[in-house]
Amino acid sequence: MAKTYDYLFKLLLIGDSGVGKTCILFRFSEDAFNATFISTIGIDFKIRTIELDGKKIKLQIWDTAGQERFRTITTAYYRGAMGIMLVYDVTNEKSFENIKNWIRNIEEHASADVEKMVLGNKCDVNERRQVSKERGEQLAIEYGIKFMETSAKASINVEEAFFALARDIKRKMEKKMEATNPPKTGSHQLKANEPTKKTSRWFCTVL
Amino acid sequence: MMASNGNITYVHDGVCVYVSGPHKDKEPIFTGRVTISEQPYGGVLEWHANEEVNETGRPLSSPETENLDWEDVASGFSAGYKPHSNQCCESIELKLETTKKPQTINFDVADLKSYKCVQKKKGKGSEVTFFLKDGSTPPTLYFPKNNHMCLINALEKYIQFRRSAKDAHLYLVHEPQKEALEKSFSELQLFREQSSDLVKRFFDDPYTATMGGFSKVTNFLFEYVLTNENSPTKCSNEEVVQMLQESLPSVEINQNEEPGFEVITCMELPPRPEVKREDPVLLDQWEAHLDSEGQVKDIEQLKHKIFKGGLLNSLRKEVWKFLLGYFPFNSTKKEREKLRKKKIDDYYKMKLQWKSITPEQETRFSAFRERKNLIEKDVSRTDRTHPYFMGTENANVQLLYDILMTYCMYNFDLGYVQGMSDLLSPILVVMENEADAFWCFAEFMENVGSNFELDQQGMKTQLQQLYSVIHFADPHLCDYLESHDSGNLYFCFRWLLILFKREFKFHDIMRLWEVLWTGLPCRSFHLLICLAILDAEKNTLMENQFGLPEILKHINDMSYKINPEEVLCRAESIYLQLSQCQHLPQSLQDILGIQAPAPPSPVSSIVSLPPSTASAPIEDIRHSSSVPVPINKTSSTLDRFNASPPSGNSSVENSSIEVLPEDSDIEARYQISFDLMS
Repeated sequence: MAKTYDYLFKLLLIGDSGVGKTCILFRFSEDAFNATFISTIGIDFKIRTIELDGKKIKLQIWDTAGQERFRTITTAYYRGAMGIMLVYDVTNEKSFENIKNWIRNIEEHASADVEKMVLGNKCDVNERRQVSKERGEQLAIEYGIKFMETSAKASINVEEAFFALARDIKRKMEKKMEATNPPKTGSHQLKANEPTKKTSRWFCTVL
Repeated sequence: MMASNGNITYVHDGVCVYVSGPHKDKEPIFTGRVTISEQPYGGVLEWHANEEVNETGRPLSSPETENLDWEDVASGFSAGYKPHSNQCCESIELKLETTKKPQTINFDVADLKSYKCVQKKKGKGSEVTFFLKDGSTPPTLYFPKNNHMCLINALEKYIQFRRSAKDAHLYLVHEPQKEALEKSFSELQLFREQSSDLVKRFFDDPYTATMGGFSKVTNFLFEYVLTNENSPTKCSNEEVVQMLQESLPSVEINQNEEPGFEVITCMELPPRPEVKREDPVLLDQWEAHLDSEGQVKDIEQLKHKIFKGGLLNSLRKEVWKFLLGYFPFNSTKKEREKLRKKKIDDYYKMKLQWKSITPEQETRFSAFRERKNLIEKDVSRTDRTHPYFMGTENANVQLLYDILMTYCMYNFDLGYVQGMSDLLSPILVVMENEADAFWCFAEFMENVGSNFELDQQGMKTQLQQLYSVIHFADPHLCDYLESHDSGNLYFCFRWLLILFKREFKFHDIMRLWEVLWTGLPCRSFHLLICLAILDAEKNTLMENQFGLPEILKHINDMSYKINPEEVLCRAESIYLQLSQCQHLPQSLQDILGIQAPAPPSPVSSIVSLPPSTASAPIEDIRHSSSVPVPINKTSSTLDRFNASPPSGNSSVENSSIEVLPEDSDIEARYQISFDLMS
């Protein structure tokens, strides 16, 4: 049986309404941009498999509705996320200020060791810029989070951002595996060199 | 992404794909070629359109100027059926090229979960829909020559299929070794803190899991007994047992497989009668309902006709105003002219209010600013592929904006919430008039406004009611969803929030809404529409063993592809089935406004109007129109969407017996978040 991927990472895109979460995701998953996007109602996800250090990593990226009112539903999907992209719009001051609220939101609803990254999107629109790159960097330093300015439209840094986040998760995961693998004698371990390693997707098929 | 680098092992020409989208009446068909190529990691299935294939991969047109046929499809509800797009340069060029013809389909054969094959009538070819493991559904392939088996045979070099026992059209990939491996990996539990599958739960806490399972039985019986009209609310154990033996011969308790987990196998419901839709109401039929003064006569009969067949498109502009309550049915033409004049006047007064806010005022009015920003953002991405809203600087987009801004002045407490622009857009398209569209929209919001409230109470109540409906009408499906982390029905959130606006094509949603606006055949009929859609997809969901993400993906991928007439038939049929059901619990009778047929009750507050009787004029004792109004939030015993988890363990919480709380009690509990996922 073919091996479609080695790892599955669940990522999440959050941020104010209209900052470009869906566009970033569409750029990354389909490598395209569409000016006539529709607002996201509820939640959806897309999948793209990337390769990192010879490992195939399936990224399952969840896209959420930005409006605060819908947080009761969107936060239900925070659980199990391994990485979160916090997106703001460099042409919208308010969306930048709200990043702090989004971080608080994560602290409440996501697991404590989730990898985070801040993205300042629409960096191609310099004439309407309200948030400088320096302020973005400053905020990221404050919270100890990685930061990038992106443009889904001009295809700037989108690829890089997801690869960086995936790399951080992979590193953390391998560390964890190293730490837990040797002492555990359980029968459920996967050996690194197992030939037919058809790594799992879900736990859903068990019952 | 042309047939990448691997060896092509199979070629099949003349395979067609429909391009669907919200604003296409007829789906264009593209003919193309299916290939299977051999890659180091296995087989890859691809489909490319034939026409206009530009070998250099150069853009034929710019995506910004063209109407994006395929990409708007892909953006709204697409799936990851193009998983290997790392060669960015190459695929950008190809993407640009594909503005007028469909994008390629490309997926790993190993990602296949199942396929569905439907033979078209009269030998007009066959359709194959693939379902991938992530729940996504690439566009359906159409084989005009009925020769899809060649492709399936080619696929069987990589994977085996077996026919589903429940759905004759469904073929599942057979992977004997998969389950063991999946299980082992899932139990590594690298990141998930807690998995909620039953096995895991059982290992963690056998007592709770088992008792939780058992409590489902008691919960069911308790609910049944409590809500059975003739039974006393308090009775001794012996009485309960006796009553069960007498009145529940059809409930079987499954003790063989998985003791303690899946308990109630079936509760026999009456058969579903066959239902046929009728033709839309035509101009002369409508005019026959107007008397000399212009008053509408035989209202219930008219509503019944609209319920059965909808309206001719050209009549919508006039009739929707009545259905939505902008014009009273019993008003004369003269009265309506007067009313309309006043309403238009009122509208422009309110419009002037926000129009006259100066930029300086605005700097000190953050609530106004925020709403303005939100509306600006949303109107610019509402139905922009519909001809009415297409293109840059479209004046109709400005109308959307003005109406929504004015609505903020009309209902400042609610303001603007995402989704409202979706509700307004078809109304504006039909009315073609700013003030009329506003008032129709305002009336619509009277009925669905609670969906948008800050505390989301309207949504919670509806999800809870929908759960109750599924729980009763299809316990199997309900159980399946529960055991796959989807018992909260969040995957139906979009359906309910904007009343299926994103699920049906634009002209179909107009049909569906006008049917709902009649208020027939029962209260909250939209919940039965939800059930009808799920009912049609049930086998696909369950046979593919979809879990939470796959269920959500599958549901999202159905967007703009659902057949409205089929769904309406099925929903009406379910209605007839439930209305004939003698065991219909009181909670469902309340939710749907259906009265169980027997035993007869002396007190009746609600009269249901089965279509068969509605042809005679009947006074609608509910008076108010029509559209789903969340009601009776205290009636459901399954208060899971609002309740606080008593122990933090959802397995117990979901299945424990709950006594109907007092009103005040409920209010307090509603404050607590309804996130019980965890």
